[in-house]
Amino acid sequence: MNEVDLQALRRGDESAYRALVNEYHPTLFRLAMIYSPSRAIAEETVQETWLAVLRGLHGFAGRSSLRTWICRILVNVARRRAGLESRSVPFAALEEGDDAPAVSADQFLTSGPFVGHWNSERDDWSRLPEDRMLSQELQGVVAEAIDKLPRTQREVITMRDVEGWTAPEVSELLRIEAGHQRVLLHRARSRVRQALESYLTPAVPA
Amino acid sequence: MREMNCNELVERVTDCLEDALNPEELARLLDHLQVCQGCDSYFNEVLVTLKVMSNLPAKPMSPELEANLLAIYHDWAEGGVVA
Repeated sequence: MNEVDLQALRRGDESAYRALVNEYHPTLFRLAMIYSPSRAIAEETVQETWLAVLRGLHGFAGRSSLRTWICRILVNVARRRAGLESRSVPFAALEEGDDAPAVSADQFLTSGPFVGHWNSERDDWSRLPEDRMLSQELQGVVAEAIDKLPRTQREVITMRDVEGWTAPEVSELLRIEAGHQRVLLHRARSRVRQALESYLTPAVPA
Repeated sequence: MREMNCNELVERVTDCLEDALNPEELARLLDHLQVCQGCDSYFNEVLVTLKVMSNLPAKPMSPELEANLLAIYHDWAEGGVVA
């Protein structure tokens, strides 16, 4: 969306509005789902967000990009509806009972000259064919793993890795420090990778 | 310079991809990757995970929501009070 489109939107140009709504819907809906128990509630959140966007449109000063501004409104609406504080999460509240290592300690040697090294060979995922990587099957495993993450991790990984936003954009959207964001991103990615590993590695009978 | 172990590398992968390692840490990580097949595979697992996430399909908007969003806009454009 550029300045011309923004002018069109303010003028009441329906096609400009339709284009904007469609362009941002995937992002807004994914974000809304983080705070919503159902698709219907997430759609209500998206609708309330557009109401707030239109009300605020003439005052939009362009200090953030339009998409950051709209997504920020959604986060505030969604957090309020879910009964959450809309302020950022303090760093101390980060743990959420999740300080597990990226890889379970039982995958590493615990003694000998190679302590801390892998204790068995790893499957080579570079042999996964491209179409398997893009299959609904693996997408389902990954989507489910993301859904199960603690909320703050899910916010960060959704915006960074699913939506492809940059770290500074996500810091601005979620009002979190760069270091805090990296910790959340690391935990989230580690959990999602683990879910894929569990799925792709056939269980070895004990 | 102390060698990086595999169980340390797996905790530094994100910092590496986020460009948040200092030059010495980065050198230790890259040195280890060069000689460790397991960590090379692990690094690739993370990249595969990122690739799957970046290709997750979007859910289409429901017709009801689309209709509601248009109605909101028409009210707004007509200068009516948006309830």
